[in-house]
Amino acid sequence: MPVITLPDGSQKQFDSPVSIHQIAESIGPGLAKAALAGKVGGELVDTSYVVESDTEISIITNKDADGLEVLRHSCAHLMAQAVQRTFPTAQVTIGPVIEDGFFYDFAYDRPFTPEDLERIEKEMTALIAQNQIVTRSVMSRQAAVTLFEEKYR
Amino acid sequence: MPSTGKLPIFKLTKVAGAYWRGDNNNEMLQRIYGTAWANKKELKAYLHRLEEAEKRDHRKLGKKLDLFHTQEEAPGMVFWHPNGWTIYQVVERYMRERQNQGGYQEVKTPQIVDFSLWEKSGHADKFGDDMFTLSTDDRNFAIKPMNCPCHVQVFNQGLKSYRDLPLRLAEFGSCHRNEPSGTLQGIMRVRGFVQDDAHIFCREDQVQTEVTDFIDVLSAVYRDFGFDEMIIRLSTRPEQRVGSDEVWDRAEAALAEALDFKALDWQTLPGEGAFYGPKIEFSLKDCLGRVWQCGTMQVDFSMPGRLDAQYVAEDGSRQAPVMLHRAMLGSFERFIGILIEHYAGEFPVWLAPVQAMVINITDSQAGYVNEVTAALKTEGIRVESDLRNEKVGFKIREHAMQKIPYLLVVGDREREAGQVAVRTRSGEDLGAMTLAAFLERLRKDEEKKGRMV
Repeated sequence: MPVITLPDGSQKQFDSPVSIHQIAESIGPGLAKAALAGKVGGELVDTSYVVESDTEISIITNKDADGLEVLRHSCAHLMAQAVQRTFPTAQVTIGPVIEDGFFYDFAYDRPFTPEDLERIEKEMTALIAQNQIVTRSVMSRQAAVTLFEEKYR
Repeated sequence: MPSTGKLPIFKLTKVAGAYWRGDNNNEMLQRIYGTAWANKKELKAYLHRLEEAEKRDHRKLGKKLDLFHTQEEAPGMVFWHPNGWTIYQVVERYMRERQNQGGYQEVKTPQIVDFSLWEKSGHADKFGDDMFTLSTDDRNFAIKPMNCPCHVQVFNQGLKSYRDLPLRLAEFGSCHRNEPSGTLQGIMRVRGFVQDDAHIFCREDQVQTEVTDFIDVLSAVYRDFGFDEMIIRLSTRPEQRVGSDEVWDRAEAALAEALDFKALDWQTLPGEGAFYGPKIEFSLKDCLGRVWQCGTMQVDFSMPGRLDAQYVAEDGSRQAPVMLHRAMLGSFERFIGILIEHYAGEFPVWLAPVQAMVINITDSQAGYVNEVTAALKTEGIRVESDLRNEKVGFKIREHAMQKIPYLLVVGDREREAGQVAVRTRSGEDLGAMTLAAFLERLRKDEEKKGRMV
């Protein structure tokens, strides 16, 4: 049964394997809401990551520098999603976090215009409003390629 | 990722073309940049910084103030216009004075040097891809990417004794490096540039004093250019290196002790030194809080030996000197780019390409305008006149937009009194004064340079 050690040294014991989200929830609903990711052994993991054994973890919120990076990363993915919904023929490629923000490269037949950016921003806001749950599932590379039908992988 | 409901405050900022995997043989992709922050306040502050930076963009101001241009036929090389070249010359003259006072001797070495020297110096190995090369008369040459091997050739002429050390050779050395075209940016990231380069040949026990002297001059120079904050980092031995651990111990200690002696704040970058020795990097912070690495002081145990530099030590033995590579500005091009953005084109009087503009109100003062202009020119002031048949308000506005520090307006009253009515570019009216009084004011400005206080 995992014993979780938090950064302040306090420990919590759980009866069964537990996700980062559940750990945050056990500390308080506010933290569960603010949790963006977890850090397990120095590695950033998302909140659905399940801890099975005794581990030191910390909950990352947007108050952490790591949290900002996580936010920017998910923001990049959100943008990619919004672009695909707005411009269905656009193909996603890569979208890393950079200083102060992020970028994403798309295969598309023309450059995006400032008006396009406004449309994409609106779509991003709409997606946030729908509170779309992004889930994590592990699949083979080929399955992922098939699922997303992208050639830039 | 958790639910997107927790996403931050964001804004999409710009678009650009980019090649798949950065390879220009691949298809062009469309890149969208965005910024994201934890709250609205941080986003607003960031957008404000971005806006300020854009207003200050040296490429934009370079055009507006007619300082320089670049064009496709000479990628990464600067065409300096009269205004920009004036700033360049002021900066060069100033650095030359500083160097002369610091015991440096200025040299000039060839632009094109046989490839064999670059092989011997190790540059061909480490730097080969970045070098412009050419072949002629069955010989292979390279356009110099650095000045150091050439300075060793100067050192090697004639037998040197320990009494000749330290020998400080300085060159405003024109260098070329074949940087990837994607990295070029205005005059900040270029292929052709001039370094304020110098090499100090000395004994190991002289390193520390040379470094402290360098730091003294460097901080004075940065203050003169309007930068009060300096960030210092000491890079220590990397895994791949030449020289024994004892020599590295002494060199690192000498640099650290020099920094401590000057009671400076500094950080260590473990393992970031060059393979030939440890180095200190000096960065300055501009008015937007951006950090620019400009100055460098590098200890080199390797090159003097590789290029057969020797001196006769006190005991009569032949020894290889230690070589210190150092620069204060880095390159003139980049440094002037930084100055343009730091000052937003509003240069202090000592750097301003045109320091004063003499403006008439009507034709009847044209002769007096020419007199005043000529008198100021004789005093070495960078002054021009505007006799166009335009409204005086229009002329004042136009030159203020060009960020000329002083606008000297003359009407009949000023002409009769032998005075000039002085206005500043910020719109301040300093009233009428004699030419002598104006000159005194301008000299004080020049003396102050870019210092804040």
